[in-house]
Amino acid sequence: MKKIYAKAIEQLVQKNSHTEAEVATLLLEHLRKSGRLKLLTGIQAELKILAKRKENTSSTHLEVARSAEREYALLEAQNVGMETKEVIITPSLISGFRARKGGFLIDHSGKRALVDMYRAVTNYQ
Amino acid sequence: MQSIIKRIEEEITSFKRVEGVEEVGVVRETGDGIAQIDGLDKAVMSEMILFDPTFDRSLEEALKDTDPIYGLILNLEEDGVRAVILGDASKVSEGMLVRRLSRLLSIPVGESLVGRVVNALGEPVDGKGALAGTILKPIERQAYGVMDRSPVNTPIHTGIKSIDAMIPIGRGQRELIIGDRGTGKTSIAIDTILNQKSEDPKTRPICIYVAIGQKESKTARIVADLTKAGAMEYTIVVTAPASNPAALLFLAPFAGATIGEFFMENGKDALVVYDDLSKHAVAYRQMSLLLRRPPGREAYPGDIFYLHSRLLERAAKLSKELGGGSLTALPIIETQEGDVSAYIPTNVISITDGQIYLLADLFNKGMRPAIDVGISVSRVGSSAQTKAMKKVSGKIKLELAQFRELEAFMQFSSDLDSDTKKRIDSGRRMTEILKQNVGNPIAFAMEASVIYAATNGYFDGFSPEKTSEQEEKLQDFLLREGEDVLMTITNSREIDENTEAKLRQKLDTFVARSAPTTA
Repeated sequence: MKKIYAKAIEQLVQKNSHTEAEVATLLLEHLRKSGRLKLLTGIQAELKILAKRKENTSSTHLEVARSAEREYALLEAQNVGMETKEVIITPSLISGFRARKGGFLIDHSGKRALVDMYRAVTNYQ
Repeated sequence: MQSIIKRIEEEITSFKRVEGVEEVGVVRETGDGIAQIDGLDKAVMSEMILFDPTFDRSLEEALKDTDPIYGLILNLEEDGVRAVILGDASKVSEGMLVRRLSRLLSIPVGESLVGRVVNALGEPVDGKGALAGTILKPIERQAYGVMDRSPVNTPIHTGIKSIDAMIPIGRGQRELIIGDRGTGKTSIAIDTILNQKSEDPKTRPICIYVAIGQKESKTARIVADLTKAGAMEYTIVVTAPASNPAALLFLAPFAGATIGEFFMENGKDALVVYDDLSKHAVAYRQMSLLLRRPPGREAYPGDIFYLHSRLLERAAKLSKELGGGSLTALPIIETQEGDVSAYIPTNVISITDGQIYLLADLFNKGMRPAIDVGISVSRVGSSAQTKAMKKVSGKIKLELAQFRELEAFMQFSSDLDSDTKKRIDSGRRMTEILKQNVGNPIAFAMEASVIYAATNGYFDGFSPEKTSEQEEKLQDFLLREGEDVLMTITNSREIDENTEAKLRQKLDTFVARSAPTTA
C-alpha cells in the first residue's frame, strides 16, 4: 500500500497539476479521513527511495582515474550530453574516465578495456 | 610455445574496445533467481542482459571472477524491467550494474554440436572443450508458415514394432508420448534415437535429446547408453537438470528446437525429444509466479498453452524450395495416476499430431512397451508409412481389437467354441509379438518380416507362450539366411510379389525346421 501511495504522489507531482505542498496537504487529509495515518512513515521511506532513485538516474556521475584527466573527461562527457561539474577520482579505473547519466554509460577506462580484453582472450562470449 | 604467444598476441591486437554510449540499468531488488532492474528503458522482451560484477571492483578483484552472469528480460514494467538470472543468482546483488546486450537470447548452433552435451545456453558441459564453427541463433522465433511447409510423407522408424506398425510417425510430425512415471516413456524416445543407427547415414536424422528437470544421474546414464551404442555420433544432448534455475529449465526445449531448426534449414532431418514438458510447465509456472504474473488454472500462467504451442509448432517438414528438411518432435508428458484430463496433458494432446499412451496396468502385466494401441493415434503418420509396413500391418489393429473384446472370456477357455478360442490365441500371439525389450529397437525390414509372419499365421503352430521365443529364433534365422530378402525390403521399402514369395519361402523353411510345441 505504501508503495502505491508513494508512486501516486510521484505521478501527481510529475503531472504538475498540484504543487508539492498541496500534494502533502491532500495526502495528510486523505490519510486522516480514511484512518490510515499509520502508513505515513512507510510512505515517507518509499518517497525517499524514489527521490534517491530519481537523483541517481537524472544526475551525471563522472569518474576519472587521475586528476590530470579531469578536463578531457568533462569535455568528452559534455559531447555525449552528460554535463556536470563534479568529478570523482577513482584510481581503480587505472586510466581514462567513465560517465553515467539516466541509464546511459560511457566507459573509457583502462580497467574496462583490460577486463574486456581478458574476457576476449579467455573465450568469453 | 611460440605459437601460443603468437595466438595471444593476435587476440590482443584484434581487440576492439567498446565505443560510444551503452544503455545500463541498476539492480533494485533480487531474489529467487529474479532481478528487478531500474533503467533499461529501451530494452525489449526476451533480450539478453549482462550483470556486471566488475564495475565497482578493482581490476585485481574483477579478474578473479570474470564469469559472465546473463539475464533474460521477461517483464517490461512502468519503472524498470524484471529479468530472470541465467546463472549463479547469488552473485547478483542490489546496486549491481546491468548492461543491455541488444540481442535476443541466442545460442551457438552448428555441426560441431553433434556428439556433444550442452546446457540450455548452448555451453558445452561434457568437458570436451569449446565448440568450433558455430553461429548464434535466437532461441525464440516464429514457426514456419503454411506455404513454407510440405506434407509429412517420410517415415521416421522408431524400431518399436507396435509404433511402426500401428502408430507410424512421419518426419516433421509432433507425436506425444504420455504416461505415468516409470511406464517407459523415455525408453521409447531413446530407442527411437538408437534405431536411427540402422538408417542410411545420408538420410539419418540428427537426434536431439532435451532433458528438462531430470536427475543428472539419469542424463549421464542416457549419454553413456547412447555412447555405448554409437548413437552419439548423430546425437546432441541438451541438459537442464533439476538443480538448475527454473529459467534454464524453461529455456532448454527452445534451445533444442533452435538446434534442430539449424539442421532442418540446412536440408537435413532432425528429431528432437523433449523429456519432459510437464516439468517444463512447472518450471514456467515457478518463473511466472516469481515474475508476479497473474496465476490461472492450477496456478499456471495464462500463456502456458501458447508456451507449448509455439514450441511444438516449430516442428515442420519444409517445402522443397526451402531445402526439404524436417524437424520431428517427440514431446513427453508425465501424468499422475493415468489422468490425461489434467491441464497440461490436455493442452499438449490438443497441440500434437498424435499420442502414444503408456499404461501402468499394461506395464505391470509385463507388456513392454506398455503402449495402449487402442487409444494411441497418429494423425498424419499413416501417409508417411512405407508400403511394406502398410501391407503387413493392415490387419493388426482389427485383430487386436477383436482380441480385447474376447479377452474377458479367456477364463472360460474350456467352454469356448473353437473359432473364439482361435481368435483369442491369435490375439495373444500378436500381443506377444508386439512385446519388445528396452534398448532393443529392430530394423525396419526385420519388423516388417516379423509382422508379416505373425499376421499370416506362421506362428499359429506354436503356443502363445512360446511366441516370443519363436520370434527371436525367426529374427536369428532371417539374419542368417534371409539377408537378401531383408536387403530388398530395406532398399525398396515395399514388399512386392517377388519379395513376398521369397519371404514366404524363408518363413516356410523356418516353420519346417522349428518343432511346434502345440498344434
